[in-house]
Amino acid sequence: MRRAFAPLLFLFLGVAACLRASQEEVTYDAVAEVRLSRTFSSGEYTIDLLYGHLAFGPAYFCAASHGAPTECESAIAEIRSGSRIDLLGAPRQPLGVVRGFTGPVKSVSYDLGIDWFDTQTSATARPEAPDGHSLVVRGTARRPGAEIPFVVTLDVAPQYQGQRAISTAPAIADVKGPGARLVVRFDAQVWLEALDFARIEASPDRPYVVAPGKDGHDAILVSLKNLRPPEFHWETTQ
Amino acid sequence: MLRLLSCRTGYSLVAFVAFVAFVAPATPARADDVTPPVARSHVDAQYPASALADRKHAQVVVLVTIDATGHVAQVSIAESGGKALDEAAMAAMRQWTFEPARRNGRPVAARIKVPFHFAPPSQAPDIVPHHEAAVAGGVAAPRPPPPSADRYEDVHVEGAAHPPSRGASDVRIEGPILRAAPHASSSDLLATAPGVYVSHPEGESVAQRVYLRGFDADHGQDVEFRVSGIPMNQGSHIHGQGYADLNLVMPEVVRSLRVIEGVYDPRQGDFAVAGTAEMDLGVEQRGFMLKYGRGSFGTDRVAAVLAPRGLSEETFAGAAFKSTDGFGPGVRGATSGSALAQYRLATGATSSLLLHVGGYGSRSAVAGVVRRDDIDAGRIGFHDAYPDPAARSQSAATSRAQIGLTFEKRGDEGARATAGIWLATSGYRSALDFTGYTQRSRVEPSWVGRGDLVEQTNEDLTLGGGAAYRSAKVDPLDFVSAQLEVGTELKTSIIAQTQSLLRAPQNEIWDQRVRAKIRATDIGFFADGLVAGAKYVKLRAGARADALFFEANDELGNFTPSFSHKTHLPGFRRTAGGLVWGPRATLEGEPLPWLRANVSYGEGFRSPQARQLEDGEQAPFAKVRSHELGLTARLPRELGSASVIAYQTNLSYDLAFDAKEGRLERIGPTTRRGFVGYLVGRPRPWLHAALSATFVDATLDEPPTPTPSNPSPAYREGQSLPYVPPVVVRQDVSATGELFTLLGKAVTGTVGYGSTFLSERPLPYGQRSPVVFIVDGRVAARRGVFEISLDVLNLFDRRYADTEYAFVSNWNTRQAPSFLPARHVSAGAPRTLLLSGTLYL
Repeated sequence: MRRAFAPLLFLFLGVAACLRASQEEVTYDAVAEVRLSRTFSSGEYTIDLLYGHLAFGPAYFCAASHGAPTECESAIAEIRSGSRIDLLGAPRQPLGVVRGFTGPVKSVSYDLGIDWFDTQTSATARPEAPDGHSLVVRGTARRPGAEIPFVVTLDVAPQYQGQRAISTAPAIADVKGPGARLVVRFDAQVWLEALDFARIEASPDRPYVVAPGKDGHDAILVSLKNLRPPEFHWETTQ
Repeated sequence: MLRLLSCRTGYSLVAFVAFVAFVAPATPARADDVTPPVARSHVDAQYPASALADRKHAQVVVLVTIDATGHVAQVSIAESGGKALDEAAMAAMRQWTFEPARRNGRPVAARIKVPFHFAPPSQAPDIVPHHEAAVAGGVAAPRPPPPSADRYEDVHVEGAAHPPSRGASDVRIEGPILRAAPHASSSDLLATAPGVYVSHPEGESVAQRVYLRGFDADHGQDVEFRVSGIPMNQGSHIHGQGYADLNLVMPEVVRSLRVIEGVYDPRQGDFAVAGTAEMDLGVEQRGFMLKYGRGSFGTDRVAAVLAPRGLSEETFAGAAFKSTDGFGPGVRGATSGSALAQYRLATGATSSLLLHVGGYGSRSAVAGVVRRDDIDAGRIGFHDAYPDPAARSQSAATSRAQIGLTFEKRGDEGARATAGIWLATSGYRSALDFTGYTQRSRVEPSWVGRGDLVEQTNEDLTLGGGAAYRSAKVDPLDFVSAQLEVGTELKTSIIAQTQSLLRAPQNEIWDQRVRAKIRATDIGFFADGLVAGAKYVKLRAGARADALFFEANDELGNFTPSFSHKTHLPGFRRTAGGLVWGPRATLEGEPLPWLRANVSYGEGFRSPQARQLEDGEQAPFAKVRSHELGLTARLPRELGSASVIAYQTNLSYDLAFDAKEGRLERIGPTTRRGFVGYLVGRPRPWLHAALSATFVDATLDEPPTPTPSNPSPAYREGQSLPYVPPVVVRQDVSATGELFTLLGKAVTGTVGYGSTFLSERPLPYGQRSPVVFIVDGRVAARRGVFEISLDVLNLFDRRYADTEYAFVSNWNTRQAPSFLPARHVSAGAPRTLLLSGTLYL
């Protein structure tokens, strides 16, 4: 009898190990891909950039097509760290680690260096935010006979407490398991091309600071948030 | 599997092998075998001198109660022969001693009739030598009947007889196994049943959480609980459907525990989905007991039980008071008190009344849960609570009072009639925060981040009762006997409940989620028949039907948030009703003298939470279908019994814990398949042991439909059900014997332990909770009226999660919160000692 029970117990334990889980945990890297030349043309102007930094994160991915926290209470994946991306640096830069579960992803909500979480009384810049802003670009616009130094400082802040700066954006994938990589593409050149350098040149301010209420600010904001927002792609690494 | 076996199961295997080494027990627990008392010594009655003048012949029938020790406890006259003769008969009767009556081999109190025939001395009086002087004058002394049980009339074993077994999964656990290991509360006694795991994730003032054979019964949604026949489950409770707080009962007065795993008895009512657990209350050791214990974490416990000698075991009065600081950093302190009293009053030779009164109150601080990742990162200790005000303001308070009156009358050939009525009132209030800071006010949606301290209140007043009649056995054929029982049960409840969000520490209300009044009525009817062919085959079959009616006044229904244009006032009153019925049957056979086999089928139900019903909706009962195949073998040399059971249960819709709301939510239909091995017995006269191993494969048949707010539900088709341990192994062993003699009196020692092994438990979102193996032990020594004992819970001081969850939380312990479902732990207690001294008078 004793001999009969020991194998039985092993059988119990063995079958218990065969739990069928709904989703598997998965972890993979995220990288930023930036399209921005140090020198490019915009109309009759040649733009020379000296400095360009963008803050990104955290980002929360959702299995629903609307990823706002009020609509999507559980994320399926997230990048909880923040990153500062050197827009003039390497073509691919690390954006941190994506942690989450296997399964479909349909949307994302994220911050650009300025958070307003449930427990914060006001929007607050993260340490990664360059000079406390979401985006800072310094450069010079040139045309024959004119040289216009400019600085772009852009704040993309959440509108309400508990919201993300970008409350929802499409991000389509079906993550099957490890071996994935998230690539976030930032077309920063398009954002800067939205600036009307002729109007900037007309201003006496030097350097011209593109800030809230100033010419060009809303154009860059709309370009970054709506016209050419960051794009989220998943690629396989195996 | 290797991971499981290599690192987690060592203790369990050792314990298992230790048990198998001395394998098994003596008394099969299910056969309700009653033997009457047998006289050990008797004293003849004296014909009273005062009656000599009349020289009358008379018969006096004495009704005598014999306690479990064989002593005459109570004597009364059932049939009078005149005052003098009555007194003579009673005086003699008080001097008799007996071998006590036995039920299933265990001594029990019994009441019998003994006839005395008095005849005057016609010639030389028949003098009884040792009373000669007292009856000087030559007094006739009629002889009572010889001291044989054959002459007793109407042997009546005190108390309600155990109901008939419904198969191998109908388990009765008696005192030696119930008390082998220490149990912090009466609900922990449930752990001695096969496949049961009991936890207390929300502290001492919230009802136990029970897992049974693949069911996460939470606080009672899937297990019907009864105490002395009174249903304990509370329908439509705000904290969980079927909420049943067993803390009313002090462990000292639980005489036995019957657990039916499955739904095979037509008497099983609402919430008998995984099964039914019934506590049979009684005190075997008569007299007065006073116990004081002091232990770890500033725990003090006082218990007193008065069980007057000579009265039924079911007659007692007890009370217990406890205060503790609890483990961890001062966040589990609790104070509680309970009182329970019963009186069984014989109203005739074959009838009796049982009065039951009980009350309980408790208030405790609650530590809540902590995230695994915070523990792993060293941000918080395993047994700690978050230092946040919302976490430190968690608490629970509860109270309950109940009274019941049951009348029972027995007839010939097993006939029986019972009728009872009971009234219970309870209050519940908890403030629990599982998720930290994730909630947004629905009243004022701009309010956010004020803490998810969910306050729930529930007031309940329930009146219930029932009646049943069982016919005498009839023999339509020589080899066939039959019996029928019909009965009805009803209860009606008035419930008031609220759910709000509080902002700690002032407990300002910053959102209201529920404010409702509910009236619920359940009218049940059952019929149960027995057809027995010779002694080899028995078919017990019947059915139960219940009609339930609900009226819900949802005062916050049709609520309009502050930013919306108001077109109406809040409120949504609705009514609903429904009928549910199901057959239940057990076919039992004895192919061999030592082997009993059964096949059983039954359908049970769980009533819905009234607030979730629509107006006019046919109440959508959760329907369960149970199937079972069982074998029970009587082990040789009366060592005990061994059972093997294969089972399957299908549930039409299941519920699972939702941390955000702090309550149960629907997840879909589920299936459980598994098998159970159960050994119980008495391998040596001084040794009692029980071992059970339960395996279950519990899966979700259909996942919940994704919704815009929950597009990625935690559940997938075919996945293992969360929280449910697929393997549960339980062992209880106790040994008692005389150790030595001290100052002329024997010192008796008792040592016992209980161990629980849980395999890895699946959690939502693909998470798993690790293996749990816990051993509780007890040693005691008694000399005369004094006993000293040491109870040790979690003997090896294992760090384990009493309950583990997976959900989204934000405890503000990092700059950017995580919105991924994460593992959360409600810590099990570390090693806990309680040193007690007990005085028996």
